[in-house]
Amino acid sequence: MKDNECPSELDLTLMYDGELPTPVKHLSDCSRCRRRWEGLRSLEQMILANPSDPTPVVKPRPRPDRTRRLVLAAATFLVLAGALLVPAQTTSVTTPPADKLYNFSAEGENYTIKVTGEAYLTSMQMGEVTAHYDNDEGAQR
Amino acid sequence: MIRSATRVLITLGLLALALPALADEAPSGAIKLMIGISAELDGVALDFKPSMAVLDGKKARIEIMRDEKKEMVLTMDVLPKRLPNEQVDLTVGFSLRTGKRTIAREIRLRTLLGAPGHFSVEDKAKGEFLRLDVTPTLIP
Repeated sequence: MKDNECPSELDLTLMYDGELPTPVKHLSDCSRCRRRWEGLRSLEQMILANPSDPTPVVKPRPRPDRTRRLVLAAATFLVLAGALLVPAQTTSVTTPPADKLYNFSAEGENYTIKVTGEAYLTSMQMGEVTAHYDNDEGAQR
Repeated sequence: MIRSATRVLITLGLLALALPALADEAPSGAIKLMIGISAELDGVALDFKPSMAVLDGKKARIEIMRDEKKEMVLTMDVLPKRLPNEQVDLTVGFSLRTGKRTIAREIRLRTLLGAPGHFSVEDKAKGEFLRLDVTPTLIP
């Protein structure tokens, strides 16, 4: 670099850091580079004065592309559907159908009738006695 | 647009999950079994005629217990299956216990809708008699 030539930003920074020789003569002749030099000094002092409060670096969040969003939507659907489907199947397999109990009396005897499974009693007859059961009102009679 | 598509997918999924449950609630297509049971065991004669609605292809059990002491317990497992040409296949497991005696039979009947299927067995030496009449009809 010639004495009358202004160093680049990178070179000036390297010079300030001591990795390149300090252009003493150029700095004394060039007011612009002196301001740049002072700017670097001010920046250094500011950093040294606030070591625990560095300027946060905020990286812009990358916007997911269309394919990525479609995959996310499909994954969300599958997870929701699976979460709902598995308990439904487990319930149908492990939970036995509720027993339905009916009472019936005939010829001086009392009977309890229990129906298990996906079924219900509609009527019961013994001798001359017939009972009809309305299952819409509940099995217990 | 993507969010709307997600909502539609979730709604369709929920509907697909809910429909089978709703179908289970409706007994449409159930088979009504009119059952006649005549039994005699150790001189104790019984004559019951229960009617029950059972889903096609689903097993069901009916238990008839006398009093709280359960000195008489009649158990019947039924599994009706509709076949072509209005035929119905009936698998019946029958058990009657009175006191310390039990009579039990596994029966397979095939009959037509609206027509009774019969089964009877008698063992005079043991004092056992059993007759079953089952008439299946469709519940609209």
